[in-house]
Amino acid sequence: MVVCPGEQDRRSGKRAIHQFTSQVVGNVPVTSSVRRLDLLLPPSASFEILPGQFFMIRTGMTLWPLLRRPFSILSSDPPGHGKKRRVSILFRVVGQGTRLMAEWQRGQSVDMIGPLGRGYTLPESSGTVLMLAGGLGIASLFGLAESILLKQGAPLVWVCIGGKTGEEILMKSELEEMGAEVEVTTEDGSMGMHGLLTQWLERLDTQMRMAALTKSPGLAVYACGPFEMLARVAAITRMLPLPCQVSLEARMACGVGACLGCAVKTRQRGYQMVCKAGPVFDAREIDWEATCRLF
Amino acid sequence: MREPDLSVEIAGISLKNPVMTASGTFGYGEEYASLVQLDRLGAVIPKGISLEPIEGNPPPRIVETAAGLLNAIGLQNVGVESFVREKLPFLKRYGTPVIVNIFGYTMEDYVRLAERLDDEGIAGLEVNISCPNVKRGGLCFGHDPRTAFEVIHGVRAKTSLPVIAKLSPNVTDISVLVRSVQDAGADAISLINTLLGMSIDVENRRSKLGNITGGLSGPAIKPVALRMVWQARALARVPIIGVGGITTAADALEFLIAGASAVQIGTAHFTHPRASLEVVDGIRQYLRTHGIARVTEIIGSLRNG
Ligand SMILES: Cc1cc2nc3c(=O)[nH]c(=O)nc-3n(C[C@H](O)[C@H](O)[C@H](O)COP(=O)(O)OP(=O)(O)OC[C@H]3O[C@@H](n4cnc5c(N)ncnc54)[C@H](O)[C@@H]3O)c2cc1C
Ligand SMILES: Cc1cc2nc3c(=O)[nH]c(=O)nc-3n(C[C@H](O)[C@H](O)[C@H](O)COP(=O)(O)O)c2cc1C
Ligand code: FES
Repeated sequence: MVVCPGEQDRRSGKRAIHQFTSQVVGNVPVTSSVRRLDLLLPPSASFEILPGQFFMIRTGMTLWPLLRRPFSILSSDPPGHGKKRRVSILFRVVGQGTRLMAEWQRGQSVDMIGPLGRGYTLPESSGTVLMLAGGLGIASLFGLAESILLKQGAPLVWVCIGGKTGEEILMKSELEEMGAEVEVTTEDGSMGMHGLLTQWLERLDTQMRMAALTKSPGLAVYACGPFEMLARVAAITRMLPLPCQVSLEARMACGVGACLGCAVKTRQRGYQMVCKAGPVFDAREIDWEATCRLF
Repeated sequence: MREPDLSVEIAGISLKNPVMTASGTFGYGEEYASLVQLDRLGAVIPKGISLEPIEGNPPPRIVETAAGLLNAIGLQNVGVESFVREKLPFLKRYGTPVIVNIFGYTMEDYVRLAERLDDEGIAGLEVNISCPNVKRGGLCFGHDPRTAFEVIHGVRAKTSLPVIAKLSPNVTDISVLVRSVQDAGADAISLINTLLGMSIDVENRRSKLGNITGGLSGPAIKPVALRMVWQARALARVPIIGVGGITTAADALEFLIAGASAVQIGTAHFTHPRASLEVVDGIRQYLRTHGIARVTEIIGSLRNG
């Protein structure tokens, strides 16, 4: 079922969200705990999907899990792909909802709501882009890289992916194939630089390269990953200073701004909902200290 | 057979069907407008409104539990002036009755809200004296029959609108409160608000909620809500509106049979945005199947009850 943006949206003047049933066409492990899910959207799904947006997915038909689960859109075909429009997500198996998802077979029907949230604001077309992905944060940033490289054609997309081990570094070759320059950091040193992604960012050679790049117009930083990483990235980019957009996670019930559950503290605008005002925010907007204490 | 008549009248408000959205679970209506035809609902009850905007509680504000949801939103809302200016015009376009849920920190707050909303073209006021996340001196207004009486009495005196008292289930004897708000002039009673609950992360030995405790809603609370509606019905002279864990038409029918004249859908929206409409369709189907002409015929029809 697709609920189309009919009369209700014309009246409200708001961007439409959709509830629809898609079909699993692929569900494969990419690491021991992460899987890639490929879904076929129904033919009537003609909506636009922006990099950084997410879906709320119903993982089971019983009362546990009761709520839908939010997942970033890794990549999607553009509208107008006829019957074959695909979207993909990467998910880590952590609890009951994702355990059920791991068992989905080809042909499984999936009840979804979306696309939700405000995605990333694309950089100026001439600008260089630095993306910082902590672990599965790449799921949210990959679509942005794809958009910039394949559609917009930016001069340089520089992506740093950080993980605990080499196994956690995802989408590296896909990014390189698209023409991105990829750096890797691992906490155990099994791939790329030994250490944290934020340590890479703090290193002198990175800083020097950044400084050089800053001189080119419109260098933009995008980051998605664990909260502590984002807080540190925000502090560093603020000092430089460089514009930085971060994609946040929060516990969500509705995903549409109705329950006021997914609040994050901002400096100027009090609590804002991650599902509606975000998940992407300007890093300077977030009150990191207030939020850090609480997470 | 003719199409069954789903209309009901609650506290003088005519509803085309007995299904409303529960406050706090449907935003201000606009959030769900692209998925739910608002003009097919019996009534819309937006997020609870206070005199001044309220920032709400520190996150995490929600956590899922077995068949339920714990929330500690802290009644974040835009305040009555923004509500009237920015949210109400949108809702009124649909012609569906809008019942405004109000709450305050003092008696005076409630009275001023009632006065302020008197001429805004809304259908009624639902007076929340029951939120577990907002307290005055450690107690909700709705826990003490005397303060409950005073709040409802004060609001009743200052408005020409129907007054619906929304009660807390977090009390020993619900009948005492039912009597006191009824004596204070409530035109209807909504039962129930959330049950006070808690959930702990054993790894770091912290509550999973920023506010430590929260309100439990969803299917987990349905039996409690149903029992309270049935108990209240036995002594109330005014209509009861059943709320708590309703997800399907079958759930809603249980409440109607137990004595509720209408129902509200809450947490179910988060999983099924169109739950309210499906409940309307399911009730209609039930009446057809059982050859019942009017939904009012099943209200309070519990056998041996
Ligand atoms: C905007 C957004 C995008 C996301 N994108 C991805 C993604 O692309 N890939 C991915 O693997 N994960 C992503 N997550 C996290 C993902 O939603 C959770 O891992 C998932 O909900 C866990 O569900 P579960 O039932 O398996 O776990 P449980 O632990 O059983 O879940 C219990 C509750 O906690 C919530 N929850 C648990 N972990 C998180 C979390 N990290 N963030 C928010 N809520 C959480 C669940 O929604 C649920 O309500 C995203 C989260 C958000 C908010
Ligand atoms: C996230 C959330 C916010 C709520 N906010 C309010 C509120 O502002 N005012 C109010 O009277 N009740 C509020 N409630 C209570 C609901 O209106 C309802 O009484 C309760 O959730 C039980 O119904 P349910 O099990 O169908 O959700 C809220 C409930 C939830 C889950
Ligand atoms: S998840 Fe409900 S407001 Fe964001």
